[in-house]
Amino acid sequence: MTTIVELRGIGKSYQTTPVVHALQPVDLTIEAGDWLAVVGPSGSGKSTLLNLLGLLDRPTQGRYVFAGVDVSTLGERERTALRGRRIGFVFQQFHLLPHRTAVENVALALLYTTPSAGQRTTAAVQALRRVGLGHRLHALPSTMSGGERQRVAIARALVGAPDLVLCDEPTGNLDSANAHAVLDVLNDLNADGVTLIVITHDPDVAARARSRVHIRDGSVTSADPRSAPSATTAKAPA
Amino acid sequence: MTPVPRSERAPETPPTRLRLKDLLAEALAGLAQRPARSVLTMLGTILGVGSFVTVLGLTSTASGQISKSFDLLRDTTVTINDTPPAGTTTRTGQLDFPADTDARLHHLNGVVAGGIWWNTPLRNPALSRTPDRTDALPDDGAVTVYAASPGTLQAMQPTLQSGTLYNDFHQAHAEHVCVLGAAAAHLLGITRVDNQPAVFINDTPYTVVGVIDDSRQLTQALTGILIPSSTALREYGPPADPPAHALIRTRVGAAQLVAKQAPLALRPNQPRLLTAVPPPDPHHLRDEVGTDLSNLFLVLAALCLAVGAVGIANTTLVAVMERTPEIGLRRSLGARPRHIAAQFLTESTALGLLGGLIGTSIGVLAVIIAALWENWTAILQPASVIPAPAIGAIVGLLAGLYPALRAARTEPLDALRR
Repeated sequence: MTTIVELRGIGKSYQTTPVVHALQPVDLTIEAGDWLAVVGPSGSGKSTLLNLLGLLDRPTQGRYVFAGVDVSTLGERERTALRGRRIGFVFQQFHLLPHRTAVENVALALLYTTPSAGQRTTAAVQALRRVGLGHRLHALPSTMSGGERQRVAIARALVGAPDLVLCDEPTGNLDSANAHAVLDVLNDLNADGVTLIVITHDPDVAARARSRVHIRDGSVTSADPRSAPSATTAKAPA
Repeated sequence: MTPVPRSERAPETPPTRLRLKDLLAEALAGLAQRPARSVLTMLGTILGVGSFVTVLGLTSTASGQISKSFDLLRDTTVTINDTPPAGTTTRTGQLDFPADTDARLHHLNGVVAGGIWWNTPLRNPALSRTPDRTDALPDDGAVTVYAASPGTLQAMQPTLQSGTLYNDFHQAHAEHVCVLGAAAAHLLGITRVDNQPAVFINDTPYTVVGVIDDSRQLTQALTGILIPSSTALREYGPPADPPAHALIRTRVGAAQLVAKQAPLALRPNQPRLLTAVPPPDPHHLRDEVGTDLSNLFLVLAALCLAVGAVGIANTTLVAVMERTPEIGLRRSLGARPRHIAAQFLTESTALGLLGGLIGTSIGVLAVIIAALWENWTAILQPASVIPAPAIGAIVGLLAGLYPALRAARTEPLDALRR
């Protein structure tokens, strides 16, 4: 099995007085094909973890190896390239562009990586079919249900064939019926071999995952044998 | 859709790119999604560029009309004064025109007719129809005696009431002949010349050869008596004050050249004794009209452009703030800060360019309508119309700099939390 994510003592703290530890140093390993749920109440540091995993933020300590590349040493250009080409994001607020059709919204994910507009559209159509929206290709987000919108967002995360899909509260804005549909899609994707990390405070969502870690007050405690908990003692920031 | 196997991927992840075509498509999509706002944003640029084009177009059109309907009479008349140009030498007090002035002027290319004239230095001459002064005119200076060479009479373009003009023969022999202006003839009671009436100037008889009804130049002669300049010189001496003048009628377009050449042709040894007064240079006139008219309006146009720039800057900045989540999303999709900056800069530049194009069209239309209204020929200088849209684009580019920079600096983290 290929290791996609390897966190070694990754932590984030802010140099205020007193020093705020947004995330205590954590060790985490995610293999290809995994589905990990990060569970915790709001303000627990799970968004910080997601941002670090998604290369949207830099840790203040520790080492992060993503798909064999030590990203701690990379410059912004390389980090952006990894983010754009090898990580897919699904957000709680969907973040679909309101005036663009489903296909256009999905194709946007390839704008910065795929020069051919034709290829982008073809891939977008395929991705939408994969999440069960083949009949809504040219619908505008305003005419879609929340579940459909989130499936468009999932298609957008998938379309670049990323090594990892990061989902931030993917069902947070959905009713239970729509949430189930979205989770079913995630289930199917994972069954097809897509590596997922889902951040949620919803135990039902977490229950779908193959493995879970709990996070509280910036500290990760494992509920799964594969992801070992970090030392709970806070290290002084470097 | 099949995920690409790891082994086929380049070991180094290639950097993300944004092709120019895609950049333009994204920027235009951004504008097209909010058409009403885009139009309002462009308003300042439309007004600025529009007034810029209109002002320059109207100026060139109006000056075109000036040169078209130019004053034929004024533009074919050159006057030469027997006064040196100011600050050079003092007047000689003599008649500085040569005796053969008419002939010398006639030899110049472009001269139709020309000659000298002056007020004879007679103080209150006794003018009467009879030698005994019984019917002498009252001593009120109403009738002046002018010395005028035959060339001057030609250059005056007179309309004869009766008789004829005196000619080179009379001039050469200093004959005692005269031509009367219509008003003077009326005062003297002379209505016909076929009975060869005479006018006595200080008891010297002058045969009246003709009466002129009207003239296009030297209209003061209509109330006077004209005698050959050679006769005047012999009888009454050179002009005192005012000095003598030469009146020259030229062919169309020759006035400037004749004015340059005439002093030299008349006084090759001392051309500076004479001052030629050409008609106003039509090109010069046009420039003056142009600057007078356009300066104020160009300032207004610049103000409009400045307002337009502020408008675009403001709207783009609002758009950047409004679309912060979109910026965050694009960053998460692999957009680098420069891609974000380029997108917003392209949007503002496109807004400016579009505003410039619309403004130019409106300006051209305004000039054409104004020209049609006034029955003029619309004249649009390509040098002012063609770069006008580019001015709008530059305004948009400058206005977009700060918002684009702000967009590029947006942290994806903060942006996505909105």
